[in-house]
Amino acid sequence: MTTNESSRDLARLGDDLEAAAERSLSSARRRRTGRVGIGVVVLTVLAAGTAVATGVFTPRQVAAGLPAGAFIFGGTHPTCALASDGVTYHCTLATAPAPEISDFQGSKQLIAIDQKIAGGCIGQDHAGMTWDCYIGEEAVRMEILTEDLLGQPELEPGRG
Amino acid sequence: MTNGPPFNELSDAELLRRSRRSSAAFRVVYDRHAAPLNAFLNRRTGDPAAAFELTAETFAAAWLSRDRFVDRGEGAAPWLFGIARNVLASSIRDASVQRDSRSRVGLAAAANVGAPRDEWLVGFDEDLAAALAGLPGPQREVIEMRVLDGRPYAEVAQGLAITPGAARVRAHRGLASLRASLGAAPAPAASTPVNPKETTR
Repeated sequence: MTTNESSRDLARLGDDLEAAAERSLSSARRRRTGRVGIGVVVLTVLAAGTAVATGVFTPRQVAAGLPAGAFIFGGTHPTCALASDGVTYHCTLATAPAPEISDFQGSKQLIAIDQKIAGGCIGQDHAGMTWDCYIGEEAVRMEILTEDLLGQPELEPGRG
Repeated sequence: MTNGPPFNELSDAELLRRSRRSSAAFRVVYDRHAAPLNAFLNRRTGDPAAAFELTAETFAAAWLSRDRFVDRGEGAAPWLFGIARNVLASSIRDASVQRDSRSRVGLAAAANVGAPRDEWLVGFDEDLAAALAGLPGPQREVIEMRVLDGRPYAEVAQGLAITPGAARVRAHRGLASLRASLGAAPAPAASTPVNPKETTR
């Protein structure tokens, strides 16, 4: 393989990768749009199990889901707000999570709503005071959990 | 992008953050790092086809795990080379170049690539460190700041008390030297990791 061939191959790989990445993002956007549209129509009649699948929860439900899903959030009194992207819940804790570890940044924790695993959160700072949380398929896409875990009984009862 | 600096002025960490919503942001990271990474893998394997496949798998894996990138202020290069090391180790273990990540993102993989060999991984870290250490001081400074740390040219220039144009020239020469020391001949400017768009700014 000559240098020019290698350069062309790398450029083509970059094009292919960018196109694949765009397809992945577009697919995720379509799923989100579909979920929001469906959610508006059926929100009032859906049972909690269905809500796990569609990812329709209020920030208050998500906040309550943190201590229900992971022991470390017990007693931390989280509050959450849904970001403008419609999928990310920005959650802030009133007190530091326990047990304290050296670095919560990038740490992944589960959320449980109505005793079922509904999604998960990713630590945004070293102290573990802020978390970005995702529900349903979005949590799978963020590689917090695998799809087969969604809707399963919570693994670790919360204490808060 | 209608607000803020263009992608090619952003750090690797910021680009990876934005790549949660933008494939173009990830492309800039690719453009910065693909050629040195491929050259390094080419040097390690002595097999251009295998090196290319490993590069492709590394970047597909990087795309899938971009949310897990932790900004330690050192840019994306150590993270990418770490992924490459893991891809290489898994490929050697399975006696076949990994293709799982490419499959997941819908990228095709070459059908016929030779089986990876154990020696491809031996001395991986030392080899990379030696390649960087072999650069002349001024070039190494720019490469470390621009490519490894992912800092914008304006910041590199300020840190080294030179003009942004001089920083670009040093980076270009440094990358050419790095490619040469990694076993690849100089490539055309359009294929260097320094985004060609930046040279017009």
